[in-house]
Amino acid sequence: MNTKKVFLGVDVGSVSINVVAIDQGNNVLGKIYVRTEGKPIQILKKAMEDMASMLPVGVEIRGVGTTGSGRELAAVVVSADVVKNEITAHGIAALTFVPDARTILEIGGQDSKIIILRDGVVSDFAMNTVCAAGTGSFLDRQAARLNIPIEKFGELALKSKSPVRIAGRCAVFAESDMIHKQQMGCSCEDIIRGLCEALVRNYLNNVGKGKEILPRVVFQGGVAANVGIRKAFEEALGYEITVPEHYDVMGALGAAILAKDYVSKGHKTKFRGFEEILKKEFTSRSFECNGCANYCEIVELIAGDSVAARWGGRCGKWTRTNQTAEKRSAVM
Amino acid sequence: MRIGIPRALLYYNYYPLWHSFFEELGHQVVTSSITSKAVLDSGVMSCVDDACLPIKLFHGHVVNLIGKVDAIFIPRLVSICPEEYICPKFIGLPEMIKSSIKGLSDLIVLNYNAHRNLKDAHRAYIELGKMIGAKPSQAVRALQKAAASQQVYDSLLKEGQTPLDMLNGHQGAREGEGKGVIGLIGHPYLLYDEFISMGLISKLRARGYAVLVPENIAQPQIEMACAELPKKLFWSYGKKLLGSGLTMLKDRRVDGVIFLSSFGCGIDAFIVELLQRYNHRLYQIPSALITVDEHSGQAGFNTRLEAFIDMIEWRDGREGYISAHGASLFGH
Repeated sequence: MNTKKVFLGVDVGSVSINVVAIDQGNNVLGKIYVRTEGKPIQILKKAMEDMASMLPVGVEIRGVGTTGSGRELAAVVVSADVVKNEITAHGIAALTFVPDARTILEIGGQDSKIIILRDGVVSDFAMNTVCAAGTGSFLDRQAARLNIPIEKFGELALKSKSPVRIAGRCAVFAESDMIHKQQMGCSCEDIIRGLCEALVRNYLNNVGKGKEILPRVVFQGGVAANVGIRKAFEEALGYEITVPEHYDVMGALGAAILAKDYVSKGHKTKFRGFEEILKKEFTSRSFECNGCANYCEIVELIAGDSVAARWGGRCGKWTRTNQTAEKRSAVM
Repeated sequence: MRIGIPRALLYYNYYPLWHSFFEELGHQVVTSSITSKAVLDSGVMSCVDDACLPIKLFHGHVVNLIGKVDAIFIPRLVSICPEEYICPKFIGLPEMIKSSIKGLSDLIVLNYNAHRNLKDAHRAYIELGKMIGAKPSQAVRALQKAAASQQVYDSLLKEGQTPLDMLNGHQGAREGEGKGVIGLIGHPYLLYDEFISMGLISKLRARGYAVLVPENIAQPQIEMACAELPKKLFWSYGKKLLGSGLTMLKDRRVDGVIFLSSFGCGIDAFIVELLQRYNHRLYQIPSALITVDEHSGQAGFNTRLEAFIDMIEWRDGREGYISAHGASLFGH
């Protein structure tokens, strides 16, 4: 039997780290969804370890792509072939798994985006600007405050008979409004349902403002697990919402698909290998550069005993010492 | 006398005029340092909390001049065109500075107001001259020379240069050179301050795109585009942005438009919205809004920019494929 060719996608987000493995037919061979817990390097290593044990023996990693806000960090740790922003990665994944998708609603841990697809390409997108109200972290926080497991949040919302109105424009106002309604004696279900509706209203008014939302509408990102939000979207838009099977790891899937396409053009993967990722000691340190009045915060990632990458500077003098990044941009 | 000009707000519109006016009258002009984190931090520290980023930054540049000059020049532009106004924060600028920053050396305030008529507006420069010991006849002569150098500057801008290129003394790619043209819509004090705009212009050029900016569009075209609006716009700078944006879109001179706005800008709030609606209805050219505030992390900015360029190239099918390494090229 031939060795199976496998492609990895890694999405290091603010709240979760996702790793997926796909084969050449885009079949998902394994997926890992773990919380970042503010320690991306350790959790990523753990996720890679779990992925290694999940994959059958004899597979060969032929390419790896990274995405998410921690994509550069992840790229150094795994030695990635492709480093891509989340919007493109999500767009690619949705088009692959839901070919007739025309709108993607994506709500992640700290950002939310809308991607408009027409004729199989991204034709417009928007991302939340300065406000993170209505993203996963806020839902998490409210669930913790009400002492409800986040997994039960959506189900509970569906039990509501008469949702209360919650101010959704700002997380701070939403929270005080929720407390207010709770002290008035409104039931927990009604408050939660009200919150779901408020978040959807806020999303459509901000991120979705002026966008032509046409079916088929795909809802992905961690928050898509929340049936309460899903229902609220359906009611607000009047369309059925499709939540793809792998809604929680779509970014990682997009990165894996991009890595597969990249390698298919004759490039050889630079993947470090599971063993080396686990064996290698990755540490990071940060310092303030005193070279000019910008005082940039430089982060240095050390792999083993050598500096693997540096970033954070505005002028590029620290990046220049970063050999891997230089080589990577040379690939362009 | 050494006169300090803060490198902020209308500096980018009028620096040739102000420079040569003071120099013609025999004074030495000192411009504050290029924006750095230290300059911004000192502005944020000394300014009232709810002002917008550009106003805070202006405070920082004033602080930067303390001790280096004998007097600091603060322009108060009430109106630059009959029956139009500019942002009220510009009108109260000298008072804001006086009340917020202690220990200031002398302030030289220009009170320019062309709201009633343009003919007498030059009297403001006679008054300004008096403050620094110049006779009216000397001030008028100096103003004539200054106006001539301003005219040279303005005509070079109309030929396709950006104020940033003129300040740095080099030229970027013009329209027709490179992969395409990106229209940038934003106030000059955002677009041409490389710290605040996070190097937007140089990042686009590094990706092979030429930029088209509002200063490149001729005033008659701006007036013509705005004349088609259902109502008269009475904000001069709002009109400039909207009119130049509409011209870029209508003439299809751009492959995409990026709006750069600072958080909380009242004028941008409706200008960007109007432009996006017209674009959506009539032209459907890719557009994106990037909002800046006091962030020092560039990750969110780069993600949006990278995804935007991916989208343009994907839509056009020009590249045939999405580049694999957007992020690393933007550097860190």
